[in-house]
Amino acid sequence: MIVRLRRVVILGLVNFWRNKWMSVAAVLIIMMTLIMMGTFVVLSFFANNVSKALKNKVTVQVDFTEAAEEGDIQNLQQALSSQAGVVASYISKEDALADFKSRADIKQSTRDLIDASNNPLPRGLRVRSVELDNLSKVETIVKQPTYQPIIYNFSYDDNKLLIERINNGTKFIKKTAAYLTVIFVVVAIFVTLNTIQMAIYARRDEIEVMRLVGASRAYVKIPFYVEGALYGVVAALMSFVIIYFGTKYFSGLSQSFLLSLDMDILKSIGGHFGTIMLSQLVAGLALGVVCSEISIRRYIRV
Amino acid sequence: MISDSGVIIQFIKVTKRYQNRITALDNVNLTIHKGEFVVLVGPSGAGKSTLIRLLVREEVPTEGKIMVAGRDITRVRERDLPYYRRNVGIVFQDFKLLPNKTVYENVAYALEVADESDEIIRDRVPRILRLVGLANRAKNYPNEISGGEQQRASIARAMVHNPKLLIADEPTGNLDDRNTAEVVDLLLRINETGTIVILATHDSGIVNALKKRVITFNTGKVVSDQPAKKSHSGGGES
Repeated sequence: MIVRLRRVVILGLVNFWRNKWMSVAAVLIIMMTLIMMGTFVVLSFFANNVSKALKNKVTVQVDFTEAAEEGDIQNLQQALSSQAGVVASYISKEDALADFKSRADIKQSTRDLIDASNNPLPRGLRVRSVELDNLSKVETIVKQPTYQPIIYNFSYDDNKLLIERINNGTKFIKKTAAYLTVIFVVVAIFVTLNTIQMAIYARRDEIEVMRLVGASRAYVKIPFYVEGALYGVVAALMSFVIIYFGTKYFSGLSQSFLLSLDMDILKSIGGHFGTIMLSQLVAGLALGVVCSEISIRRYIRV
Repeated sequence: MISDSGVIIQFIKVTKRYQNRITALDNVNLTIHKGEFVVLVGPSGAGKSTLIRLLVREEVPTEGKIMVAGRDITRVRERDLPYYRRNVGIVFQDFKLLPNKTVYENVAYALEVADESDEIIRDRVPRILRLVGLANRAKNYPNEISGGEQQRASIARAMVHNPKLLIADEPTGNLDDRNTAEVVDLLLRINETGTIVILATHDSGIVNALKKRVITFNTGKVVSDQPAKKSHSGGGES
């Protein structure tokens, strides 16, 4: 049994080497498939991160009238914060002033108009939500009649359009990416199948001879599986290296114009490279072996 | 699987039709005995190759039985087929060597598939290569050696596992006279060891020189079956 296993594995390895050009073709095709899969994973990661970062930028602000009672403000803050994923942070007059003073986009002379003794800036709640959809709940709460007397300004309406755009945009990108991934992967699998089928077609006479010499089905097939597995492993390694350096390069490029979102793609994906590598290996192995099995089946009749 | 009994191969009312229209073999009855050397002759399409394909169970007959050593091979189960074939050596007109294996590996392959030990392979393959005169070609690939050498390699592969039956389908069809003589000589020597040899050929020169049993086919039927001429030495017919 062990002798037989050793022999078929060696046969597969030797065949991989001796049919170099076919092997190269199959490896390249599987590699393309894996790169496609991997790129979509990385891109959707990227899209997710960007949209998350953008969403974090979106804040809704509730400003209160001078007459508003602290107790009422706290009530509203609690009501908002009790929503899942919603954070409402209180901004005192002092915070608002500090904020204003630090704004570089306002002229110094204008900034000098206001100081601690003369501070017309209102108290407010700054509301953030991980899920943009939750912001509509925020709107319902804030627009309750009980709070109307204390509210001086609610900036949701100003941001509504932007929020909806981001929301629709990310949804669209995710959906499109998912569909495209499925389509590309299906096409890529067919191309892989075809390539391996051609490789095996070229050797159909060999398969017949092996059978006529008295080789069992398994003895004929397993070397082809080994070969297919080797295609997959080599392709996975190559595709991983390409994806890794591609991401690194892309990350460096994007850093410059995503700086304001303070995110580092490489860092955020970094922890997942192990998973990507592993899934590439599994996908490569599966592609190589399954395509070999499908292709060889029809030539092994006699 | 093939035991030593007097009658070893029997075709009983064997008919083979393709797509139910072309009749390649028509009600053939044949008996081949232990140690016989049988020459199959007849024009192309007469049924020689079909008979050989049936004998190696590449195909099954439309009707009839093929008994080998008392067993009907048309009923051998798919998974037992390799065991049957390991008792049969086959030599083809186009050699059918595995192109990506060296001469040595091609011959060794027939033993590997039968789970022979490494020691037996290391012992027997060089010996058989010396016997067919290919010791110095062991490391060459089939496309690096001549047609005659390729055919001798394929004979080495067919006989390395000591089959009880060796089938040669037009083995000299692609060879010149000198190589033809060498191949025929090898087949005779294999026959001398007690192996049944079935040789299909077009070459009337070979047929006349051999003086062995000659079965003539035409349009799927056996039209004549001449026994071996006594004068020829060698061979092993009873």
